[in-house]
Amino acid sequence: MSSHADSRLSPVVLTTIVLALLLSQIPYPEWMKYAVPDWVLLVLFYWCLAIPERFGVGYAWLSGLLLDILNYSLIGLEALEKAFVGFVVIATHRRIRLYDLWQQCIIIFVLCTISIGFKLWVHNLVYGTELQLVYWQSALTTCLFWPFVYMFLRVVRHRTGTST
Amino acid sequence: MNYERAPASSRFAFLALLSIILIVTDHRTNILDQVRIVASIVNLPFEAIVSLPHAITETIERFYPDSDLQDRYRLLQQKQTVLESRLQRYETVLKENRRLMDLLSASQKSSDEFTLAKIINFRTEAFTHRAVINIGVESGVYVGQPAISPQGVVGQIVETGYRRSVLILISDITHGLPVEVERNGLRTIVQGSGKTGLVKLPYLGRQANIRTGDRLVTSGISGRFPAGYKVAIVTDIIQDANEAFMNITAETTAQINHVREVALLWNTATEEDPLLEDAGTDSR
Repeated sequence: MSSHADSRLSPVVLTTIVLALLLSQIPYPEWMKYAVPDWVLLVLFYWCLAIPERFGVGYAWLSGLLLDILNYSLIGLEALEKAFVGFVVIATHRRIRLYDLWQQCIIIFVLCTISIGFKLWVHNLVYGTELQLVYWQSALTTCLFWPFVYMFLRVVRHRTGTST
Repeated sequence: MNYERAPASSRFAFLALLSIILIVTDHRTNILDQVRIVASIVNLPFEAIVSLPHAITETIERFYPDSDLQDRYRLLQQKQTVLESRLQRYETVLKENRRLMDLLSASQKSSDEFTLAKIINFRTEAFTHRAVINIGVESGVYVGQPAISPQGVVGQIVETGYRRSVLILISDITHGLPVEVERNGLRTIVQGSGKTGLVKLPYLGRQANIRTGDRLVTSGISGRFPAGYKVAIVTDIIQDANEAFMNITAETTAQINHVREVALLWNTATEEDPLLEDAGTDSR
């Protein structure tokens, strides 16, 4: 019997999420301000695929909430997006696991596009931000960074024995 | 745990609902403001780590000063002398101005008090132009407080936290600021452009008396910003015969993305005249 009753998060997973949150807070140069990859999403994506019985919607939501607080943005917005991503990946993790890396990249691109669209829509309603195509740049960079994040986290997981 | 066994879909539905409630509460009411202030303590360790490289280089620079330090020191001393002698006149002018204001019984009195704050982090990413500063509610910072630099207006406070506040920069696309043209007193509103260091003047008709090089200063109409602070210099005017309004771009006088310190003004004008405050452009 697998230990799916064990909902504690291993320190390794926690550290990688904190690392992703830190990466999202670094001041980036002016020219890549629209192209900053969504590090938190990538890390969440990985853990939802790797240990879906221990990591899931709840933790994804919590990391999103933390991101909202760190960004001083509307509380609950990132949380909703990240919970959505967590839900989609958890629900389809068996299928996504079988895909090649580049196919997973496409899935990440689609998920990013949806969440950026949603964020823009809310910003448009609340602050009146104009809808511009340039805001979707980060969807592209995020999915391009997936192979690296995947390989890095896989090494981390195998070295530390964070598996089911 | 029962919770863990609940299907992902119902958990997601619950959390999505919770998120939507949070978003609406945060936007519509100020119930969450207190929560935010407490939650912003989380930011302190994160910001400390992120600004670590900068802190290290700053410390090293302190021990190994530039070779031209002496020259710079001498230059600053000269500047100080000039400014101090000029200040003497300022004091008298200020007194005279106060007396004349009293005679006119004008309500617009602004105090000269300010607090210096250090900018920790610029958040000029996709959606917003914001900066985080190192003082918050414990120093009495309030939402709507103007922030200026010696070169001109930088922005205003939109959010306060514990030892942290967030400034919205005047280049933010959602920020509006009442200004007047220094040359002829023409009043209009400066709107952020979403581009670094650039603002727009969207509400000037084709016949408006404005030309490139005109300096824009705060008009003090909103009651939030005292009158007379530099804002921007008009750089580009495009007239389209089909459009009722001109397409005017101006460059902010403050180097918004390079300033490291801002002065937060303690504006007493808003307290004296509550009617003025209502007319202020709201940035949220």
